[in-house]
Amino acid sequence: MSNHLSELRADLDNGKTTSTSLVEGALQSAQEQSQLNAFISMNADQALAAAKTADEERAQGQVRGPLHGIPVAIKDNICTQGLRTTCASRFLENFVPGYDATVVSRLRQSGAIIFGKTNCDEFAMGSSNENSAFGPVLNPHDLNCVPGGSSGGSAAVVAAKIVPLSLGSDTGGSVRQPAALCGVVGVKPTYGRVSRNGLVAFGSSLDQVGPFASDVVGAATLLEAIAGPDPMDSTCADRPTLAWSEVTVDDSQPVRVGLPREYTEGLSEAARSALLEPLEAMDGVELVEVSLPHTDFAIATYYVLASAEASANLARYDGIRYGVRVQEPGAGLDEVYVASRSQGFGPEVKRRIMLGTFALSAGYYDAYYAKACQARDAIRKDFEDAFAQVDVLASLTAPSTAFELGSKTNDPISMYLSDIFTVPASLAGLPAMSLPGRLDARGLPWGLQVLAPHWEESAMFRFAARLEAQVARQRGEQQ
Amino acid sequence: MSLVDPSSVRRIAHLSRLRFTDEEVEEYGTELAKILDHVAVLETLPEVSGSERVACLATPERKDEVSQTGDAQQSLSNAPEHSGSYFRVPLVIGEES
Repeated sequence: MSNHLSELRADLDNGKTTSTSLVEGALQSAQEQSQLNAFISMNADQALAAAKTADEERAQGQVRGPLHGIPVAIKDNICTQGLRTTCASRFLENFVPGYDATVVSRLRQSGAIIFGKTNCDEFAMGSSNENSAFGPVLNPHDLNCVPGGSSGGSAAVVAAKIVPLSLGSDTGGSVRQPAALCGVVGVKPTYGRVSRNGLVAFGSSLDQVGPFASDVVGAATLLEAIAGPDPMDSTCADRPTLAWSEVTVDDSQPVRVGLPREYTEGLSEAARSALLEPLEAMDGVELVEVSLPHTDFAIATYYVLASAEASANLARYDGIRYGVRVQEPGAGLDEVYVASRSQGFGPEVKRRIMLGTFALSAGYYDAYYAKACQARDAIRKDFEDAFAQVDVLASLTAPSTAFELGSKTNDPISMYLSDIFTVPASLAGLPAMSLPGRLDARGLPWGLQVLAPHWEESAMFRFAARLEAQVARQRGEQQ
Repeated sequence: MSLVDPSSVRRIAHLSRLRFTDEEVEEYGTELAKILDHVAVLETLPEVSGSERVACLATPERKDEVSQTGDAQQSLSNAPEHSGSYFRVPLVIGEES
């Protein structure tokens, strides 16, 4: 069965299917594939009720837009009114938000159906989805492998064709890397393109909500529905939402594509050809080698800044207003904070809070936090220089295809390095996306990343659509 | 003195409002040491003076308008303990200092 938004929309428009039957099918598919562990909470009754309403509206000729009656899964760090939102943490195991995130209320207004909440790394901290308090998500292409992280559940449910669309959040690659490892399309918009209101904060200067879909047009359609200024988030920019989903494949337009030298050096032959084969075969594409000289600083910069912001953002989890409270008899306020946090948070969250607190502490602030801010500026400047020469940049999304469960859990640095190609764009605030490339020898997809200048999602989607068509041609030959 | 010897780990844990067993102190110390070893690459970044730093995006302003954002009972419903329209908190001031 197709999982492409455009085909499902056509079926709805032609009366070949209904929203109710889409939701029923998705519920059945989720149950049949429950071993993936991709959902933390289902929203079955509400989703069926919303589908019924959508069908009734459609019967009366009221179609709200391209997402009318389409089930969408939501990462469990995005607030959904009345529907448990855990951030995959024991701390928020029973937290039920009193309001919808702006992205969720925009989806509801557009007629989309909130289908369920997807598993992820705890508080979005991780690259393999193995840090969830609800257990790991498995990769639909190989159940021995991770789906990537932190939005592993959102990537897996689209890859497993349970739902056509989902939302994730990307702080250092948490949409793009799982999209790559699961063989779907995932987009991190320009920082400020999408409201963060109701997205549980991790690294506030980096966090962006982003769409997953089976194809470029599907992801662009979902981005259109959620993007745009929001009075509830002052970092959400007053920029118009464009018709990105109307992108067409136009090979007659010449495009200059930059290949960052630092991203291709040291790649295995298989990785190199996964990147270069489609690019070199494309019509109208001029490949230009560019340099991003501060790339070596990116991972260190990211882990200092994101952890510093996390240590401040996660200070709110104190066991008073929501979440776990652990209170030993006679314990005072401070002891309750300590006991609640120590029991409620998992090991990776504690590691990041510790690292961030250290980087911000007296005596170390200048050497770590201030230095990382300078490195971030240098990285941003690298991209400005590169985009003076080319229209878009292309790279692999991750240095490998999906890796086996447990293979990196004892080595935080090795896990952090799986974000090496995604972190720089996050630090610079650039739009970037991953789309599926060729399959490796095990049949697992490579992810191809496209990056564009600030606010140039149009250029990003235009090139991604051409690259997607090229990969489809080559995959046809590969099979 | 290592940046992440047991007493430093305990100090950072205190600042983080986290508690660790002796075994965990050892474990987190070793891991943090490895991470800081990797982060040390930042020391090699050439000095950048403030004026050369790229300006960040400006923060847009809006009118501060009152609107309805949920009710008190809803906000209290997630609290581990509440009483009437208040959050209940543990003992803040002891009987003796």
